[in-house]
Amino acid sequence: MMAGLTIRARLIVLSSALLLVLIGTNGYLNRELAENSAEMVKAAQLLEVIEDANSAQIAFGEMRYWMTDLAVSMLMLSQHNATAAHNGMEGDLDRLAQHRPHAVAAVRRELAQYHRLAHQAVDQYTADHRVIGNALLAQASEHSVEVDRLLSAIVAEETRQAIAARERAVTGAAAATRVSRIVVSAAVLVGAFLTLMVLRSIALPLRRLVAAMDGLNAGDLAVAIPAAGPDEIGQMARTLAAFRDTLEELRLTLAQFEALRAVGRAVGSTLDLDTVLELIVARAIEFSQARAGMIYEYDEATREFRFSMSHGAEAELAERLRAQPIVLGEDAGGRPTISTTPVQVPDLLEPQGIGVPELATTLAGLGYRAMLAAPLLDEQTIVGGLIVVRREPGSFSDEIVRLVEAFATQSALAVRNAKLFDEQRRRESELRAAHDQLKAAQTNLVQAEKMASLGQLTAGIAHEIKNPLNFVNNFAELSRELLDELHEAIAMPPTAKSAGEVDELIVTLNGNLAKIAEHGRRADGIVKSMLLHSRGDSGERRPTDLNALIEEALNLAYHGARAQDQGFNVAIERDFDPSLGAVSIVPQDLTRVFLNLFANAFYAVNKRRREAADPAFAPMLKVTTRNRGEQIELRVRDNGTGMPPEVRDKAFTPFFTTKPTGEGTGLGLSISYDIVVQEHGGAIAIDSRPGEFTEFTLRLPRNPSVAAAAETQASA
Amino acid sequence: MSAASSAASLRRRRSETIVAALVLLIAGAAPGRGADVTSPAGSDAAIAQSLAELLRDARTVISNNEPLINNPDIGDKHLTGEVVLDDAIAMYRKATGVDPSSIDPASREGRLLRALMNAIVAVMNDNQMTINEKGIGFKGLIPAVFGRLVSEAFNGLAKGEALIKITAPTDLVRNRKALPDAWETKVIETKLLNPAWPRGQAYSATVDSGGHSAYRFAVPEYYTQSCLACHGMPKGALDITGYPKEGRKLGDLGGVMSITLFR
Repeated sequence: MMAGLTIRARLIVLSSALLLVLIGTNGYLNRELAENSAEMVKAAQLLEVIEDANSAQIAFGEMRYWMTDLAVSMLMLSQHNATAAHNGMEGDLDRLAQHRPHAVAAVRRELAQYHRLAHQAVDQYTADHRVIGNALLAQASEHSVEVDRLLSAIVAEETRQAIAARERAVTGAAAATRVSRIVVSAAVLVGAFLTLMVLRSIALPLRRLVAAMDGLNAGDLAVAIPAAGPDEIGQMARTLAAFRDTLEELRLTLAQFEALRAVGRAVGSTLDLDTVLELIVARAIEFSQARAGMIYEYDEATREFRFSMSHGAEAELAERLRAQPIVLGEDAGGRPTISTTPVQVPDLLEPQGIGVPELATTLAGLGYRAMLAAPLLDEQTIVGGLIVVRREPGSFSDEIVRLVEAFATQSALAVRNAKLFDEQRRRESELRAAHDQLKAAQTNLVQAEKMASLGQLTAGIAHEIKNPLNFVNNFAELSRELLDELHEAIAMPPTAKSAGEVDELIVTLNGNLAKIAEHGRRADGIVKSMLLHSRGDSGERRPTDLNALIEEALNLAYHGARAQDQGFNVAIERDFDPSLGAVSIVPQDLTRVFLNLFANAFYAVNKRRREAADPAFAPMLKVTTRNRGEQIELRVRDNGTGMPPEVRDKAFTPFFTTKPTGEGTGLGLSISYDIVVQEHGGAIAIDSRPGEFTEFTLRLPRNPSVAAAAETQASA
Repeated sequence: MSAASSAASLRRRRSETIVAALVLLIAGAAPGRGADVTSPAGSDAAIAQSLAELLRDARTVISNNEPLINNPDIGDKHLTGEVVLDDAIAMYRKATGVDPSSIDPASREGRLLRALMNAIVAVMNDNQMTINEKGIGFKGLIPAVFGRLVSEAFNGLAKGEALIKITAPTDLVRNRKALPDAWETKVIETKLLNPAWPRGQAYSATVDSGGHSAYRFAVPEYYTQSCLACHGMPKGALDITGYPKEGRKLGDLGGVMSITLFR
């Protein structure tokens, strides 16, 4: 009965039924209560009437008493009391008259008689007419008895009516209570029954639905879902069934996705193409519910598809297919043998309209009935094909077609990856060879730069050596003459004078020999220094007199420049800080730096001199050293051509040079930068204005252990 | 005498006592005497004044003898009508210089004064049993009761010639018999209670009474301190006789002695 209604309708029916019972019971009780209340009100009104009648009777008794008292005592107090009692009684009678007008009228008639006679009696007593007073009082007494009787009758009648009203109220209330008990009991029973029915009609299907949900939740997609009724639970059952279908689809999709992901992973990680293709075809067969699958590779040169590999196919099929390449455009009907979209043959026994009748025949010959082929496309270029076949005829679903297409795409990617990998390996090999060549060329270049600077210095060095050599020659020549004189002196007879000459000659000779030895050592030092410079490998740090090292490099550079250009001249200003002290450096490396800086400065001033053609221009080089505590500062400033900002920015870049080809290697400042910054932990900066000056500032840490890595700064 | 009539009699006596007490206390302070001293002898005014004076004097005698009357230990107190009258005449003479016994009995004044003197003697002699009762303290024979009894006796003796009545403003009357009549009510309300009325001055007028001309004379009497024991504060509290006090103050108009002389 309930199943045909929605839950909402069921609840509405239930609550409406209960509400109707409630309203009915309430209405009945209300009516009974109203009647009861009316009876009670009536009884209460009767009680009021009785009260008024009683009150009137009491007041009349008082009045009678005070009138009698007045007759005896003559006291005005008694008269006042009697009047008050009379007034009170009149008030009672007024109220009483509203309910019992006739009875009250009778009372009033008697009362008036009593009142009149009693007052007459009192007046007679006051006038001392005692006998008349007594007679009047006796007459008044008769009326007083009548007043009493009338009032008592009213009380009796009203009391009877009040009792009757109360009885009616009590009886009515008892009846109402009984009826309401019966109705409420019945309503409770009916309500309980209806509630049970409604609950049952909801709870049972819900329980079945919950069981189905639990089953689905536990992964049981085959769980029974209760039949869908017209109510809300039926809607839930329908939704649950739809949910189960979605879940099934999701599960399949997930499996397909997992398969594609596994394939994708294999494509990305395995470089063995055969392994990857094997995996792809196996998965394609699995998800398309096919029996076997094949991969064909397309050869652009021969325009034919060649069997590459198969999975699930008999050895005989593989053999036949291998021996039977598919030639593009071989179809007799002029249709292409392969398209860029998947093609399926639902029944291989009726292969009308396909471009590969031989393949169909071969497959059908081995018992296959349906075929699905998808092209392997690499950016719209056909690189092969994926074919799955099964023994059952019929079309492949769109979903399977899309899946096989996806596997085909993965296959194409695998083929492409394999090709790319081959290509990459080839390029790597070429790159490595080029790198090796480059490295060798770089080494040669650095060596060439070193040789070039050495060559530059050769003239200077020659000049340096020439000086001590002149001394040696001169002193040797002089000594030879002195030896002649000595010889003559020894040949003569010895005298005191000759003995003195001999001694003098020997002293002079000794001095000359000492000078020869000294200049010889100087020449030796120069040669050693040159050897050190040319040796190329880095030496060790040692405390060095930087001022002396700079002076030596300055001389070498200057004479080198002079040797190359006889017309070259420059004013050199030295501003050396005598407090510089020993600095821990690698002398031969820093000498290379200094030589570089000086040679560049000389080149710049010489260039400006030539280009400016200004006789007033005086080339100038200023070298300054300063003790900056933990650091040593060196400034090399020339008034040469200067550098524009773009040149300054690239000054330390290897192989960058502004000199004509063949004059500079572009490595001088690059190497200097490495020596100062990398090797010594110092800093090197350039300040320059084109056409005015260039100033290099070097900062070297006095103690290399505390030196932090410095940066090259180019001040604006 | 039956028990019922005895009780009724006692009650009547008590109410009379109350009214009499009122009159006595008022008399004690009566300033009305001599209000019209220039009245010629034998005139209505002179007669009314004489009657009022003698009645007041007799009341004073009773007042002076109250301790004796209310003494429960003494039996025969020898306070007879003659004793009281002698004392009253002495007081009258002292006040007026005239012996009332010497006035011509044939004259109207002498006749009325003798009626009053006889009434005083009769009342005292009628009440000798009460006065001499041993073992009872307060006997109710106070000056006011005495005054009313005397006035009632006088009215009987002077029947058709004169009336003496002790009355008061209506709200102060305790005994129904003392209620003021129409003339008295008017005099009390318009004259004696008027704040402008000279204190103690009597009012007199000649009025028509049942077809005859009558001289009416009203003397105001005021509350003294001793009056207030029964008529003062707090209003509504019961006095010694069981009656609610009126809540009046010293000097308020408490009563009026009304004398009528028929012509």
